[in-house]
Amino acid sequence: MSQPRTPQPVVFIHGVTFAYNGEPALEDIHFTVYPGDYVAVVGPNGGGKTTLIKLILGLLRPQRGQVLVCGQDPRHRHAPIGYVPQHAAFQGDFPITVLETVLMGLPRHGRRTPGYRKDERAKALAMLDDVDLASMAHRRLDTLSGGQKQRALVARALMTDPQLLLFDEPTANIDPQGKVCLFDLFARLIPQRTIIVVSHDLIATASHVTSVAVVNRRLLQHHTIDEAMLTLMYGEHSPSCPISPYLHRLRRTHRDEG
Amino acid sequence: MIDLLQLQFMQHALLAALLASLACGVVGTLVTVNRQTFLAGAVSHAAYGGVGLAMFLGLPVFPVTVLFTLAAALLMAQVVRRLPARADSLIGVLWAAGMSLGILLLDFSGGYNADLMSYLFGSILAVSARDLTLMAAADLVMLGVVLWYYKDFLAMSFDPEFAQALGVPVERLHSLLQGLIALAIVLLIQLVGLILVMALLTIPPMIAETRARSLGGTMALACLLALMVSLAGLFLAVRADLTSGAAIVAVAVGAYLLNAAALVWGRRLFSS
Repeated sequence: MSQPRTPQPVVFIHGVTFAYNGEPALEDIHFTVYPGDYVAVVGPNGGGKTTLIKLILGLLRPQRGQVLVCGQDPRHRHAPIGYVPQHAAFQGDFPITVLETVLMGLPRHGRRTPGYRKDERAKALAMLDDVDLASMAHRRLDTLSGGQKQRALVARALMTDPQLLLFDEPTANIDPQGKVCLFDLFARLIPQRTIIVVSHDLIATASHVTSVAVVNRRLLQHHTIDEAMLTLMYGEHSPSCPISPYLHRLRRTHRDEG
Repeated sequence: MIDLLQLQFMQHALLAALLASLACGVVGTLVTVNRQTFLAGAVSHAAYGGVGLAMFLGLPVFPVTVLFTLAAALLMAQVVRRLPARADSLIGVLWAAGMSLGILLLDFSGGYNADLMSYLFGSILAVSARDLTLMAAADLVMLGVVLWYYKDFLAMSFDPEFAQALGVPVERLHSLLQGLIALAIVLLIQLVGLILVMALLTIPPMIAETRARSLGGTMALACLLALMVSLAGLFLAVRADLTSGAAIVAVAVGAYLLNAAALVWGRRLFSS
């Protein structure tokens, strides 16, 4: 009798250690993400969340261990990754239209002419339509609200039809209404894609995620929000710790409502 | 006025203004959007070392200054990349060192050199046909490189991290940008001089950045603005017997202030 086939992980990280100038940022990380997963990466500032994303993107090289994206070394990968960097990573007042921002996401090969082809523009407009920004295509990006800008960057990340989408703090500097819209958009994208979201806001991501990775130099992957919250509160030895009265109350309320 | 245009030195000056405006608009826009103004300022002053070296060795000034400035620009780019925390101080050191080297080498060359003043304050009215050919060739190289790598420059300037994730060789492109800055600076030295080169390289792109909707649009508008302020400054200099470089920059600063006032007034009108 044949065994059910395990799908190839989209992200496979095994025993990875990374340090900046001898100062460890991540130690002995093990992290696996399968197709269709929606993973929230949470943890304190300086805990190594962005380093983890950069390792997956191939922007950093691990000093020890192995990182594979769709079975390949991310520095030589052929499978595209859709990436939405932190809000602070790009210039807010840059002279660029919303459409040109999205067109920037086209694969790099064959980019040697300064203009764009008709089919490329049509695709960018379709992506903008997906994020409800088609009517703003020809406006300057800096005239959009924070939430609209993030949606434009999501459209840019979708231009390569990526299997994997990485979001680094997508809801920073966005009002609560904008956050809800953005996470609803992620939920719409999930059936065809795998999503990893770095966020401080575990509550905002909680409604959709399939697992939570708590990163603080080491990484613990959980399949429930409760477990993740315990790890965030008590560290990696949380199972032996008493559950806080707050979580007890939260669980009871949850059970009663259920 | 028409009589003035019949004169060869004036025709050369107009052509030089056109060629310098192209460099200023295209490379100046990349300097401005990449927040490289301080670095470009340091490179422009270090270029003086190249002028001094050429005069000391008795070699042609343009190619020697291009090579020297290029080396200085790449060195400064390395400093920024490897020691970001101390970059501003170290760039300050290189800025002063390049300029002092130029002056010392000119001292060793013996006697007062009339060209010294022209490299400090510009001499657009003394541009020769050979200078124009060199400037045109440098313009062609710069425009060709920027057109070829336009999308990569756009991605790197807007969002370097995303560009890197997309496979854009950001570090190499950054070095290429330093090369273009060095070339543009040497080109502009003859127009407005070392002291004022930064103003022409940054003011027209800064005005254009507030009015255009794209990087390409900013470059085109900056070229046009640079040409307009150069021509206005040139005619002002000839009419009022002023130093041409200073007159050009005075016009550019005036245009910048007018644009800033218009933006503030526009915002107030919009908000009321």
